Formats: sequence, structure tokens, C-alpha cells
Amino acid sequence: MATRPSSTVVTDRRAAANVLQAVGVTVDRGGVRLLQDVHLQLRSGDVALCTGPNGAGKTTLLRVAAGLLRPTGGRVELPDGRIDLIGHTPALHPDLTLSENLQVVARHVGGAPDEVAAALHHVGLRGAADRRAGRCSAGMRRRAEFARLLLTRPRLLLLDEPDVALDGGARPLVDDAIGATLGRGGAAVVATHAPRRLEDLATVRWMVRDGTVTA
Amino acid sequence: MSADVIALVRTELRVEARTRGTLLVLLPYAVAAMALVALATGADLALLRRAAPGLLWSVVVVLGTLTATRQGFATDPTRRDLLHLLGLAPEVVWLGRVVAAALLLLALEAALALAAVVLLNLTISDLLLQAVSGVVTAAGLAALGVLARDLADGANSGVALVPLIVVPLAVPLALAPVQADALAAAGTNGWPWLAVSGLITTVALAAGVAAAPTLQEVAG
Repeated sequence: MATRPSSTVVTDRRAAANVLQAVGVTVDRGGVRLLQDVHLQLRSGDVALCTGPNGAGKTTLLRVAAGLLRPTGGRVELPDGRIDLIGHTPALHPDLTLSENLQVVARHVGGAPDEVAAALHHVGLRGAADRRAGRCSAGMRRRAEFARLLLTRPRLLLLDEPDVALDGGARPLVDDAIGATLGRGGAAVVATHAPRRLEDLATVRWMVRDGTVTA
Repeated sequence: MSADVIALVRTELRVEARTRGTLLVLLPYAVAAMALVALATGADLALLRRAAPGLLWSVVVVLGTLTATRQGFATDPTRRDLLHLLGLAPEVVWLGRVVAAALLLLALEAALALAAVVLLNLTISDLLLQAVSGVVTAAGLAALGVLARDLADGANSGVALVPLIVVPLAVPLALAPVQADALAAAGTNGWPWLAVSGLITTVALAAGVAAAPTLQEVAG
């Protein structure tokens, strides 16, 4: 069971700043309603645990929260800072090395090249920095995604099944990433089928079912 | 914006340098096609010379489409989403992909033109006209190919839709340098034909930039 990171600085939800707000959000795609009249609010220091069956709309909700999917109706207020999303598929090019993949990120966020090496070292991938992503295991690719968070330093962290492919020794990376985000005054949303492990971190619980969200 | 486009082009070219999917895989097939035509026409050098521009630009169309629709860094919707989260507007990502594909296509055009001179007895009447034609056609084919790939991805049709979108516009795009060269060879001004390829290229670029946000969202 995870414990709430000590870097959490905001405890009073009423006083904390808004990080994400969704008002009456509806998403239709291909004639199908994926989200229906969703009202959500995340404040600085919040960790939302998002649960629900397959196809309920969790991933769609994360994509809306990331600003990657415009709602058909309603409005979403995104945070001022950066947003990062770790989804089902790693955002790595298989023919580039892990280091080169992270250098792409560093180049666009103004990070120094040595930050890439430090980030890979932090997630236990220093020895695999020059290995092509396509030749790494699923767990290594997942770790590389968590290394990316050290470069992007998001204010809103969105994790879709973050424990998938990670061995037990790597699971603290999830807790650390959430803790670091909260330490920056941000918030996190974790979509998961295994909420028990992260139960202690959660300040908010969202149940997604048939495109509707119950807070 | 331009710095982001340049950074993305560098990434795409790095992927190409690693996979060498364009220059080392496509080019030998194109050169082989030219060699077969040269062998088939035998010693009829005059026929070969007349057919050379048409054959060259036909090959460029095929290779251009394949180059523009290849698997680059920002082709994949997940990686495109990442670039969006890093602050790159969909239009910037789209332009970066087009510029990278156009640069690769320019390199292919240069290699193919050289092969056509050697194998097909190609003569270039107006080098500047052909050079400008090559740049405009490369940009147009790259824009059409990238746009077609995104439309096909959005329609969940795979790459089957790509030729249906590209070919109707790629034919006049490739016809322009052929006609321009023919007019230049006859001592006439071939530059007006560039207006045709320039117009198609401009429309493809404008359509791609305008549609980029929607196409990225639909592909995700």
C-alpha cells in the first residue's frame, strides 16, 4: 500500500488553487457519446483515483483533461503549467535509443542534455541509455516514460494504469512522480483497475461508468 | 515556432538516419526500374531521352508518396500527443513532418535525376527551372502525402486511402516539371507550368495546416 508523499504541501482543499476544472463536459465521437455532462474539479495537492470498467470512458476523460480532446459540449479549464500523460502506449520511437527519445523531450522543454542522463539514472536505466526503445522490455519503456516526467515537471500529471509492466521494485516510481507533482503545487489523476495500492494517496475518487463520472 | 519546426525536422531526420528506410530501401528499386526501361528500349537513345522526364517524375511521385507516409517520429498518434503536451501546436508538428519529408524527397530527386542522366540519357534544358520545380514538387508531394496519411488514419482506413487522395493531385504536380522541361527544350518559357505545381503545393500546405488540429485529435 502506498503512503502519501511527504512533499505534499497543500492540505486545505478550499484554500488550494484550481489545477483542473471541467464543467458540463460532453464528448461525442463517431456518433457515440463517450462522456456525458461531467463536472470535476482538481485543486493543488489533489490526487484523483479514477476507476471504472473497461470502455467506461476513463482514457477519454484523461485525454480531455490533457487538452488532447476537445469536448463537444461544456468547458475544461486547464492549468497554467505543463501537463503530462503516461498512457497505455509508450510515446517512444522504437528506432531511437532511450536517451535519444528523451533528448527529443529535453529539446522542446529547454532541458540540458545531462538532465537526460540523470533522469535515466534516476529510474534505473543508466545502463540502457543507448539501447533502442524497440529492443527494451515493456517495463524498461515504462520506466523511460517516468524518466520523462523529470524533464517535463508537469503541474498536472495524468497516469493511465501506471503500474502496468512495472515490477514491484519500480512501483515507487509512480508514487515518487505523484509526490513530485504535488510538491510543485500540482495535482494528479490516476486511472486504474487496481485502486487499492494507491488508495492512501487519493484525495478524490472518480467512478466512471458509461461515460458518466461520479465524484 | 520555427525553432520547434527545425527541432522536429532534426528528430525526423535522425529517425531516417537510423532506419535508412527511404534512401537505402526505396532508391535501389527506383534505379532498377529506370535500368529496366533503358534495357527495354535498347539502342533507341532518342526514344529514351523523350521518355526520361516522364519516367523520372513518375518514379518521384511513387517514392514521394511512400516517403511522406513513412513511419516517422511524429506519425504515431501517441508521440504526436506527447509533442502537443510539450507545447508544440498541431500545425507546427504537421509542418515539421512535411519539411522533413520534403528534404528526404529532395535528396531522392537529386539521386534519381543523376541516375536518369546516366541510365536514360536525360538532358536538362534549364537547370534553374528544374531545380525550382524539384523543390516545389517535393514540398507538394510531402504535403499531400502527410495530409493523406493523416486523413487515412482519421478514417481508420489504413494506408489504402492514401493513393486515392494523393494521385489525383500528384499527377498534375508531376506533370508541371515535365511540361516545363519540354517547353524549355523547345526554347519556350517553361516557368508558367510552375504556377500549376506551386498552386497545388500551396493548397496542400494550407489545407494541412488548417486541418492539423482536427486530424491530430481524431487520430489520438
